[in-house]
Amino acid sequence: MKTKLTMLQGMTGFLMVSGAAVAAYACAFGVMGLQTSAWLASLLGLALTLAAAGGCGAALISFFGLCERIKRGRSFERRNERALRVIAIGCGAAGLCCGVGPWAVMLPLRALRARVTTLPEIWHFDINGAEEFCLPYLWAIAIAFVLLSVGLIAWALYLLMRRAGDAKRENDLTV
Amino acid sequence: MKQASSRMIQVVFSALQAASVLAGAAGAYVAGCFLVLGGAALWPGVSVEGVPAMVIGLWMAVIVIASVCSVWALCRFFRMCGRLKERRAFTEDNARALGRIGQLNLISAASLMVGAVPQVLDVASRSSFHYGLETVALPLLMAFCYLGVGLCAGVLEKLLWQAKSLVDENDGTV
Repeated sequence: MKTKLTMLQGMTGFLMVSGAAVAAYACAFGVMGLQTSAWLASLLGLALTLAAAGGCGAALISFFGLCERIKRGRSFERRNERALRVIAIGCGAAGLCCGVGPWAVMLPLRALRARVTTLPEIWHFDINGAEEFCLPYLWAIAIAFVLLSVGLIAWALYLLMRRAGDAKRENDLTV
Repeated sequence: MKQASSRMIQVVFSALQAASVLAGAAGAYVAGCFLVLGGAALWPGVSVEGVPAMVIGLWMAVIVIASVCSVWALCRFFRMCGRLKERRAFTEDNARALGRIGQLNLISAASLMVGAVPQVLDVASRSSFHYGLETVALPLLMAFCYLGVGLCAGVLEKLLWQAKSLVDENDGTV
């Protein structure tokens, strides 16, 4: 179990470093876009990227700490319950930023900028620019689905961990 | 308070069941598309420039193994969520299900890593067939995800056994 937890911590560290690099790369694009006429879309994109990166970072840091405590045999503690709640909220927020942001904010803004206003026109505009336009949005939906699922699983584990923690504390009191 | 918590558990696990059905359907669709494309490429008289038939065959085998393992794991997960909804959380069935899910995910990760070997060798040697970096990165990224899920499921299985013994002890004391 300790080996598995150490491997998970290693993977968490790798994800933190690579995720920070990807977020910095995306932010650099956003900052460059601020000086163009598409500054509003760039600003919103930058805000969404930072919010998603913040949520994922908080979740990863909490997960790292959770693994460390479980490795030391402190499995059913209040701190672990809190960590699971942070993971659930962080992943949920990042998932919403990835899923709702691009579709509800970025797509209408880009369509308006291209003077496309009606729904059939937006759909046509989307299909026309499939390679450059549609693919990032599909990726965003896939990433959002994964993040929201991880958030839901973490929330479910939080509820179960709370029950197990209550049983342990009751047990300790009885002893 | 207790009723609200129970309701929350119902909602969360129903959402997880819906997510597992959606993931299963989307995964089956994507895997089906890849298998049709691979089958078409292996059809007599059809050839894909620069990609040996052996590599296509290897990838089709990898997709079949990973798909079967994923669907199996999703089925176990779906049934486990059903038991958790009925408030049967700390049971032997759930611990075994988590152990099986962990093993299936590790098998998927291993098969994807084996499938990525020709691409990695190609990139390393820059030989006859050039796939591009994304065809190397994508299977390795997926293997990384499967490995993470497999390890998490393994750890959760151990924690569930611990929690089960705690709850049993508690019930025994009462």
